[in-house]
Amino acid sequence: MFASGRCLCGAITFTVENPPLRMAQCHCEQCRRSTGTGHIVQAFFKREDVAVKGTTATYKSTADSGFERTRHFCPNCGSRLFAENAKNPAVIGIAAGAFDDSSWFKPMVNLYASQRPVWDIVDPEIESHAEM
Amino acid sequence: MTTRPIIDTQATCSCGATTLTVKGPVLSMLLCACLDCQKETGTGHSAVALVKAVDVTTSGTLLAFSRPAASGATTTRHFCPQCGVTLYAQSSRAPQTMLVPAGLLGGDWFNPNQVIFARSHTEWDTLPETIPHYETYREGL
Ligand SMILES: [Zn+2]
Ligand SMILES: [Zn+2]
Ligand SMILES: [Zn+2]
Ligand SMILES: [Zn+2]
Repeated sequence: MFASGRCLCGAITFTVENPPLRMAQCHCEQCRRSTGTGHIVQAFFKREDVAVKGTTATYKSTADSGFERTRHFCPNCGSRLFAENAKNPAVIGIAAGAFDDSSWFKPMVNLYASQRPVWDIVDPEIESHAEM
Repeated sequence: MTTRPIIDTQATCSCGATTLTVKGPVLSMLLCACLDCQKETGTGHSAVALVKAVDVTTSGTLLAFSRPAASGATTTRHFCPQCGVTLYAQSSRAPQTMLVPAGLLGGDWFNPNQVIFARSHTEWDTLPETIPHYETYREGL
């Protein structure tokens, strides 16, 4: 096992078998609203490497790419957990804060930096894109 | 000491089923790196405006989740059952106030004046160095 995690109340738990394919931070309006902060931070894994226990609630919306995005949260405590994009169903994103130990995490890229609030401080060493 | 803005803002959750309006002074602006905020937001810290409860109105049906917080008080988080977005949180220590997420409210007025629960801050999360960092909860604003 590479990592494990859970929501705030523990109704949803998950394990991941292998290291992430990619790690990213996104400052887009939808991500800021979803987390209530200046950004979302996610690690992306192969879908087959992730095992989830418990039933999440989902919210579907259309991403800028035009593809449907499904965000998963805990119906009991509201914690942010997973995100899927119809563009790439073999991959699942997991919110960095959901892991029991996230010391391995480090965003590789900052997306939608053009929408970053001035108060949300970022590491200037991390590659930044105005949009996607 | 950063200035405390007076706001008149309406915010909606992602799906639009719930709304929140704040009209009044912001008492404090906090970044909280406690483990509960990490789990709830899915990020390294929450970013919240402390406002008077009497200045807040909400519409739509919210779900509440209560849990003992790292401060020793009970924190209740109110979220939209359709999209999971947190509209506000309240601490049993200060029921006359509410904590409203800055990312939900939007706007340029937010200007954090303190970091709390810095003890559980992760290495990968970036916080402003220019404001006070408190290891745990801090009394006062
Ligand atoms: Zn939960
Ligand atoms: Zn985004
Ligand atoms: Zn909603
Ligand atoms: Zn917190």
